[in-house]
Amino acid sequence: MPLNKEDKMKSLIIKDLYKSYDDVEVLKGINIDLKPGEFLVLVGPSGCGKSTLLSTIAGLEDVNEGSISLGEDDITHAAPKDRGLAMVFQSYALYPNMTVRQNIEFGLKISKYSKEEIASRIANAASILHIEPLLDRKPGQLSGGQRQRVAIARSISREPDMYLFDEPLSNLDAELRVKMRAEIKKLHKRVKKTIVYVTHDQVEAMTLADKIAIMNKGKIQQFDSPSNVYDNPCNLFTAGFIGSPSMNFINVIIKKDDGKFSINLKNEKNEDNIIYLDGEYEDLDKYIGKEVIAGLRPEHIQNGFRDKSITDELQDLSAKVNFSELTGADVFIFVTLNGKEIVTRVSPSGAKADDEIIDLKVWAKKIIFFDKDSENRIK
Amino acid sequence: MIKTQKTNISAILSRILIYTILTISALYFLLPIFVMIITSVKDIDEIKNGNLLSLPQNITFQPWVEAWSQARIGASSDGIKPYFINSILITVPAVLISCIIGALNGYVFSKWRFKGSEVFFSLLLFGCFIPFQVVLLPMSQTMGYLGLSGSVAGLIFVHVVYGTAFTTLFFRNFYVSIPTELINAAKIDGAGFFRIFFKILLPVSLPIFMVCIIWQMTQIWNEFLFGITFSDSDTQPVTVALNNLVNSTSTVKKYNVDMAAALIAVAPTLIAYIISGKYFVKGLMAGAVK
Repeated sequence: MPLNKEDKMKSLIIKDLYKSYDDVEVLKGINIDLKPGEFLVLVGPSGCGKSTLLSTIAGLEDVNEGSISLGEDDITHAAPKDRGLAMVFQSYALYPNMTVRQNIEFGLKISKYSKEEIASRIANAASILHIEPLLDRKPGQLSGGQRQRVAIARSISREPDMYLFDEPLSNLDAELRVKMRAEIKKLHKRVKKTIVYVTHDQVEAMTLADKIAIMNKGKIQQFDSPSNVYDNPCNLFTAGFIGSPSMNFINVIIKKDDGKFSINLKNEKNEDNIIYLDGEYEDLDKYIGKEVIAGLRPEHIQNGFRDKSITDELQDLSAKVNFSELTGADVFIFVTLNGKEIVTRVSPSGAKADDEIIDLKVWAKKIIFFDKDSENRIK
Repeated sequence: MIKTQKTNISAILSRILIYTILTISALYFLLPIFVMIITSVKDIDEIKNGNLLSLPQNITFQPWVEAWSQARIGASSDGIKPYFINSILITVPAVLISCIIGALNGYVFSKWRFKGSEVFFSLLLFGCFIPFQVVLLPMSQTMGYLGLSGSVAGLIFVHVVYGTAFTTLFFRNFYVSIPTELINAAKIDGAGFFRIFFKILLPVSLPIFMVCIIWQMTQIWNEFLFGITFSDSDTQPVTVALNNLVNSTSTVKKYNVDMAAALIAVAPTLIAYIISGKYFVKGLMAGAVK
């Protein structure tokens, strides 16, 4: 059944948003510019303000300063019901005393739609989420996954301009979470509406998002596409937050000989591993002779890269295996470089036993650097 | 094997100990009621000549009839019936009103917090700890201003004011355990303050309503000080009438009538508790265990 496809998709623009509870500032100048129909994931550690931001968008919390607009409309101070949005909550928030049908009806009745309209919307939402057989049950008789479907059906029935999801999958078990994640992705393709989705799970963020906003301490650290967030983190926090296992951070001193930058990654026996930096850097000249933080993702230190085209860009590194973790497809081998234990992602065929010396390859182009004091990326 | 036997013996011993203690406590609490019941069906000669604990020789219900509708209390001799009716007229509205106000208060204090609402709540809780005697004078003055002195409405007013502190506490603690996301979902669905209360919260409030009703009913029905202070002779509740009956100086002390009257006076709360006691425990637990 088609949803109102002729509906215009709406953009979400948030400008200089501030929010504080008593003396505690929770949101410190949030700016978001989301294009119509995009899927935005707000991600960050607990207490970073992502749920508060979602509540202010929903109108459940007032803001101290700033503005929120959806499409042409400024909704900063509108009542929640007038904002044209629907929300799916972490605990599903189904009304326990009502049947599934009544749960979906509740908001539609308040909005005073005709009986026929309500019936057709319920039928439509139920068919999209495959919950027709559950319509006359109470939420207490449903499993977690079914409740989640009902909650999503309820939001679809409102035919909103924007969907808000507040950690909708965190109460589900791992298998169901992956399934529902795919369904939400499909739903977005189908309804083509703007979505704001809060999660603390970076895998959910990477898989679902068109745009990711990584939040920490009430500020957006980086607002970008998933691939950019992964490849070009703008500071130490976003670099460490996205990726599993997370990026390795090693203190190194930048050297420059004959116009070529190099760093030294000494192994546990203090043997030199000189790595020449063949990437492009704008500001690295300022840091010659200084200590900076080098960031290397585990998959960029390997024993055999599957991509043959980059063979020329690989440089040797040897170190002792401290210990290793087998995950099936890969082995995570832990080695010590410059006194810091780091993790590398090695294919099982080339793995070595503990305490043996392993010859690794570094894809030096992918090494990025951060200022030690500001923790910002050095371009 | 030996070990198991040992544990068996000590388990049996501790069982015996537990049941002995339980039996003694049960006897301790039930004995007075037993004495009251058997005394209330003995005639007055048997009481004078017999033993307190001996079973009645000829069972008579005359003392009950006399206590209900003939005993002399104050100026009239209509038994405790009119006062029993007074108590019903006071208790039923006072319980209902204080529960409804408590439910609304609890709803606001848990789900619609405003700046300073915690202070309000603390002040209201203070009401639970103020001794009755402290408010007697200001309360009687207030009732004078309101023109409620000596009336049934006045007693209802007093009990509502006093009871609201408790019912608010009960309802607030119950509603705190209901997820706020539910309220937020309803807000986004477009429901307002009262619709959320009536459609979302009230339908799940039965256990806490039972707690409040039993608690308030017991409190108000058994209350004596306000009853004696703020009533006229024709608006006295049954507790005051019972006191007057027992204390009235007549030639013969009719213990059987006194006992029957006392049993009549406590019957409603006892029955209410027996019928709905399971809700009481459930409701209190609902707030305690999230």
